Amino acid sequence: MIPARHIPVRTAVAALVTSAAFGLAFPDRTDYLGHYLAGFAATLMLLSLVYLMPVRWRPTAIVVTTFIAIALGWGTESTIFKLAIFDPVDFNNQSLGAVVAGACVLGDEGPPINMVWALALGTVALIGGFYFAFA
Amino acid sequence: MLSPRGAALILAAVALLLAAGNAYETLRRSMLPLALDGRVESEEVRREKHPGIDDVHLLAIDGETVHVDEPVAGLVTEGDELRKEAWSSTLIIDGTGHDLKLSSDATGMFVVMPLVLVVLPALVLTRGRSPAPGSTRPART
Repeated sequence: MIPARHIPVRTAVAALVTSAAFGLAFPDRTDYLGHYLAGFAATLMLLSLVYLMPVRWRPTAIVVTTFIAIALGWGTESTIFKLAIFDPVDFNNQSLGAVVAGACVLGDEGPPINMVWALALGTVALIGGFYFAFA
Repeated sequence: MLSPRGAALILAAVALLLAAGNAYETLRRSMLPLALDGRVESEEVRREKHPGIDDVHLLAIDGETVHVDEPVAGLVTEGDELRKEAWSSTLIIDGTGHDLKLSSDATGMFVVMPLVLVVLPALVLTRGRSPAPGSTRPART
């Protein structure tokens, strides 16, 4: 069990490991990595709001927020990112990113200031997501 | 209110569904799971963000639209009669058998999806706990 203060590092490692897997398994399909990372990033940024809630509400809030993120991803994949068709693989990849983000934050009972790392890491990951999706 | 364990189980279940969906969808685009008996009415290629790499190949077979991988699309042309049994790797085109293979996308999914499903419980099982301010409970390590 790792110390709670290492949750941001653990989150970054989880993002890097899973992103590396996507990148290595699909060298020609950078859009798969892009969608995964964008889903992870956007959800992590949304999840930063969970730190403003009482600790006992956070597991529920994490699940609800993750579902909201997945629904928003459905909306974007159905509209602004629907270039050819609604691609279920793109939707699944970004939704998996959302779930991994939720799992990263689960158990962090820290103070509201902890939302800063979630926003910062989410922003970096979002830039990466857009880069790989459109590179 | 959900417990952390309850939340973890829900997230894991959702992840499992998504991963299974990805594996099946990429498998489906190789045509392997499909049963077919019809004529190719039309072929269509739609461009995505990376033309030539992530193009979407759509076949209309007796009124039903099927999204297939590029190697599969390259085997068929408009007007072809297709026959195939579900889960067979042989696609019969105008009476001639052609071997279908797992696409690189499907192969990749069978590697990446289990990895993601392993990372998830690893995250949950190693979650730390920062005590709330003012709490006398020691940090969980």
